[in-house]
Amino acid sequence: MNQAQASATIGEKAFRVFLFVFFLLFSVTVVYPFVYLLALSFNEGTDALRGGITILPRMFTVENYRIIFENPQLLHGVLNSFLRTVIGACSATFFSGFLGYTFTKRKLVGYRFYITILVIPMYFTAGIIPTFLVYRSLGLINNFLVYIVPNLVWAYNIIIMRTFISSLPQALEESAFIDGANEYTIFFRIILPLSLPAFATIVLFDAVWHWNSWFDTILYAPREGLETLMSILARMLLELRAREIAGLKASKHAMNITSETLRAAMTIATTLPIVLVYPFLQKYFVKGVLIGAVKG
Amino acid sequence: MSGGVEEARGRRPGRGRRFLSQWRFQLVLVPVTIWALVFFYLPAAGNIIAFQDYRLDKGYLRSSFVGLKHFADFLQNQLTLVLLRNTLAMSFLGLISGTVAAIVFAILLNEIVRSAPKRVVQTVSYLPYFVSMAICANLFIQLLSRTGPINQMLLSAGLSDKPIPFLEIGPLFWWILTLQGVWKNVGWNAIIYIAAITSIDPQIFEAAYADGAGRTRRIWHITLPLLLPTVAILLILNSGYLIMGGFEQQLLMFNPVVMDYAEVLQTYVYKRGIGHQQYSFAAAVNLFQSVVSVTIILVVNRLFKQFTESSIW
Repeated sequence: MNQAQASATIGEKAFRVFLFVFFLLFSVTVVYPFVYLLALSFNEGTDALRGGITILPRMFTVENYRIIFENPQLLHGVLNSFLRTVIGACSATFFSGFLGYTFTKRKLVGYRFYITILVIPMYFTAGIIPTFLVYRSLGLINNFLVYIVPNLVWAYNIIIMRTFISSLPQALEESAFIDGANEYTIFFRIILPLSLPAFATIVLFDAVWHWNSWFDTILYAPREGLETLMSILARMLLELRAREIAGLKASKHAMNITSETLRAAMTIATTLPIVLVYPFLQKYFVKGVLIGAVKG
Repeated sequence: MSGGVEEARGRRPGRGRRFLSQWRFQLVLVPVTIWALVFFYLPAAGNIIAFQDYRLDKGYLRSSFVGLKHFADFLQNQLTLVLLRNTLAMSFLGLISGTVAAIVFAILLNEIVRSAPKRVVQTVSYLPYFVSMAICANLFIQLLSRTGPINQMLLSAGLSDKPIPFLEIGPLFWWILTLQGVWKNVGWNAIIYIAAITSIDPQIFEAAYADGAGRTRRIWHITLPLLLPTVAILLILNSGYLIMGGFEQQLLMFNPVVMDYAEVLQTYVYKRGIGHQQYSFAAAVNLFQSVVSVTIILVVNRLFKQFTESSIW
C-alpha cells in the first residue's frame, strides 16, 4: 500500500525528503564520533592540541599506535582482555546452553526451585559493598577468577537457549536415547550442533560483554597485572579527573599532549574488535532480544 | 496429569529415585545452585552490615549492631537531597527521552518503504549499544573538549567567540548525559517497538487509508495507541530503576567542577564504601535504594492497573 501512495502528493514527497535527511543525520551522528577519534588517533600529538581536526588527520603519524603497542602494560592488557573474553564467554555459554537444555526437562526434581533461584538475581542486585566483601573473603580480589566465576550463569541467556532448544524436534533426542546415548552425549552431539546459531549468538553476546567490562577490574582487580584494555582506558579517564581534583591544572596541559591522541588511539584499538564481530553479532541478536522480551 | 496416569499403572517413582535417574542434570544443577547462593544470596544477606558498624577484622558476627543509625545519618545528611535530585533528574530525563526517542525512531523507521536502506539504518543504530561505556565516555569527552569538533564548528560559524567547556557546566551535564544515553541506546530500545509495530494487523492501516486517514492520523490514531501497552510495561519495569540511577556513565563523565550535578547515589555509594571503606554506611544507602526501588515498582504497577488494562502481573 505504501508503494501506491509513494508517488502521490507534494506532502508525501516532502515527507520522503524529511525521512531521508533525518536518517542521514542520524547515521552521521552515530558514526562521526568514531571518525573523529580515528582522525585524531593518526594525528601528531602536539599538533592535535591546536584543534581543528574534523575528518582527516592533519599531521599524519602512526606514532600513537606504536606507543600503545610498545607499552608492556598495554600489551599485558591485550592479553588479559583476550583471556578474559575467550574463557569468560566460552564458560558462560556452556552453562547457558547446558542449563537451557536442562530446563526443557519439566520432570526435573526441583524444577521450580532451580528456576526461581536463578531468575531472582535477574531483577535484583545484592549491592556493590556486600558483594565486594564476599568476594574479598573468597579470595577473589586480585585474582583472575573474579572475571570468570561470578559471571558464569546468566538467567537471561538460559531463557533464550531454552526457548531455542525446545523448538528442536523431540524425536531426535528420543531416538538417540533409545540408541543408548546419555544426556551429556545428547547435549554435545545433538543439541549443540543443531543449536549452533543460538550458541553463536550467546557466545558473541558474552564475548562483547566481557570485552567491554571495566568496572570489575577497577573494583576487584586493582593490581596492575590483571588490568584489561578496557579498564586501562577507563582508568585514563578516571585519572584525567583525578588530576583535575588534585588541582594540577597547570600541568594538565602538558599531560594532554600525550593523552588526547593516545586516548583516541586506545579508543579506536578497543572499538575495533567490536566492529569486527559486529556483522555476525547483529545477524542473530534481534531474534534473541525478542525471545528474551517475550518469554522473560 | 502425567502423575495420575503413572499412579493408575502402579506406584509413581519417588522423588529420590527420580533425582538419581536424573543425576547427569543434577550434577550440574546442584553446583550451580551453590554458585547462586555464594555469588548472589550470600552477598544479599550481607546487607545485614547496613545495620551494623561493620569492621573487616570483626566480621559479620562480631561487629556491633547499630539499628538504623546509618539510614538516619544518610537521610539527615545535607548532601542527600542533592544526590537524590541528581539521581532522579538524570533518571527521569533518561527514561523519558529514551522512551520518546525510541518510539519516534521506530515509527519513522517503519515509514521507510525500501528494505535495504531500512536495514542499513537499523544496523548502524545498534552499533553504539555494543560499545563499552568507557569508549562511549571518551568519545563524548573528546568530541566536546575545548579543541574538539563541536567547539570548532561553533567557533567557525561565529556562534561563540571562545570554546565552551560543555562538560563543566552543571545543568548542561544532565542534558549531555541524557543525550549520550539516547545516542547509545536508541537503536537497541527501538527494537521492541519496531517489533510491536510490525505485529499490527496491516488491515487496520488499510481500512484507515480507505477512510481517508493521512499518515499523521494513522500514526496518531493507530500506531501510537497500539504501542501503548508495550510502553506501559516498559515504563513499569524501568520505573524501579529510577532511584538506582546511573553509575558507569556518571563515574566516567564526572569532573569535580560539576560535582553538585554529577554525583549520584550509586557513585556516592562506591566512593564512600570502597574509597573510604565506610562499608556499613554505603551498604545502608544502597539498601535504601533497593527498598525504594521495589516500592516504586509495586506502586506504579498498581496505579497502572487501576487506570489502564495493562500491568506486569
